[in-house]
Amino acid sequence: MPRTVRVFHLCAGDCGACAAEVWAAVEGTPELAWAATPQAADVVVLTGSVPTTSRGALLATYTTLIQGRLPVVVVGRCAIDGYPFGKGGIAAQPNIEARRKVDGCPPIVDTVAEALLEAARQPRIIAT
Amino acid sequence: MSYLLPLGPFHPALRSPQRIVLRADGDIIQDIEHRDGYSTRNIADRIRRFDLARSYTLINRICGVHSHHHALAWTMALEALAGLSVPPRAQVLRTVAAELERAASHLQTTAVVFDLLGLGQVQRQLFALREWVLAAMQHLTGHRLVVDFARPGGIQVDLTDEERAAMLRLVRKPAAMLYRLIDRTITRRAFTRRVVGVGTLLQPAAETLGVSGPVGRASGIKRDLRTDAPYASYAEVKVAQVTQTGGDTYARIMLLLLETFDSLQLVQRLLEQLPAGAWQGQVVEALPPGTSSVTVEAPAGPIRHTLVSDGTRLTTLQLEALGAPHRLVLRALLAGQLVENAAVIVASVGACMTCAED
Repeated sequence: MPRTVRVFHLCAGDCGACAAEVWAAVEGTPELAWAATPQAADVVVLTGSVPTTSRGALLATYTTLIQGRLPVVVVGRCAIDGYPFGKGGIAAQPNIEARRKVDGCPPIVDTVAEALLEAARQPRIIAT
Repeated sequence: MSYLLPLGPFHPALRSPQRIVLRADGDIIQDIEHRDGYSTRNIADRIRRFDLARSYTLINRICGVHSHHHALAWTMALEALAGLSVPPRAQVLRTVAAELERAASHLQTTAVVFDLLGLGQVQRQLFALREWVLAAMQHLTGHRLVVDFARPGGIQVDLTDEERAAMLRLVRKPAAMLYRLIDRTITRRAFTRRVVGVGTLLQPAAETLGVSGPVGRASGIKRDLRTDAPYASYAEVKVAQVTQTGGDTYARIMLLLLETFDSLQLVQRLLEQLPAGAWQGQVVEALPPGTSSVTVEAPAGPIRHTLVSDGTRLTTLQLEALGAPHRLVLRALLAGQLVENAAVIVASVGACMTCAED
């Protein structure tokens, strides 16, 4: 496990609350830090209900830079199944594989931090 | 040599996804392309199919960071249609929640800018101050963000005397800490050399482009709905009209820090003179026919909710974020600037697109 876990944030159509709580989790936890790009990250966090407007950008980033390389932690109820913005989230995206799902609208900061650390602690995915 | 440099749609400087493509020549940005709309969730359309009791679930989630302001505008528009009045205690507590939300939002924006400037110590202090403010918000509403607080004719939960005392303790300390932080940072060379004269938007250009909110006030536009058209309890308290004339990144950061300080002072004053009495709001079951439009001064600029009711249901709902930056504003800010300053300039605008992309 790396000493500092670097987090890349994918924000696809959320209200900003989960993004703010992920920000608070990373800033408030010494073991967590930001990654500017997915290449520099140890874990990817996804927030938002993945509406049609951001689906293309999200899937392009995911399939080219993340799939098979990095664990994805899904944060927030709308990122899990789209509620209350209608059907959506990763429930409607079978391509995206989530290592952890953190429920809540928005979830508690400590739970987010713990999920990010735990996802990065598990054995690294080896690209095939 | 001319080249293109993309910023986003997923970038640490951006509060919500948007794509800014910088067209640069050497180190200098010549032009930009801006694409937004990544957070569009069709909330205005969905709410018309909801009953009014369930509407708050969505209204509070237009923007999670500015949720109370959206709920406030929505509630005031419902009250105007239904002809409801609000007791003074509820008005004061609504104003307290609004000012706490403003302080938390401004602290987040400034913390991100200081992080991008490499001033981690200041960023950590601002983050700690924001946590204090959010703890006070939790005492008031039960939540840090997405505070489901306003209801037609009042508020959702009351504040006990113990919680009021705890809130006052939580707000007094950050106000004093922030004052010292502003005093220390204002002339710090590591800060000023990266922000003074960077990303300048002077008043004539800001007026022409229709800039409002904190970005407009940093360019010298004295426009703030809290003083120009007071709502809630703003008529009874003196809001400091903070403006800067520089229009650069320095002016924007100083304006946000000074407004945060004023917000914390306002919260203290309002809580100290909190009137007793009725507070409870209730869900409106039916709306009389008519139109109502309410604009409130949200942390990132004014937001307007316009409702049209036919007597049985809402037929039209229009949500507008008048302060959201558009392509021309971003081009005016970024053209002619160094590429290395682009992220700092964009972050200093606050660029909250979720308010605009309902």
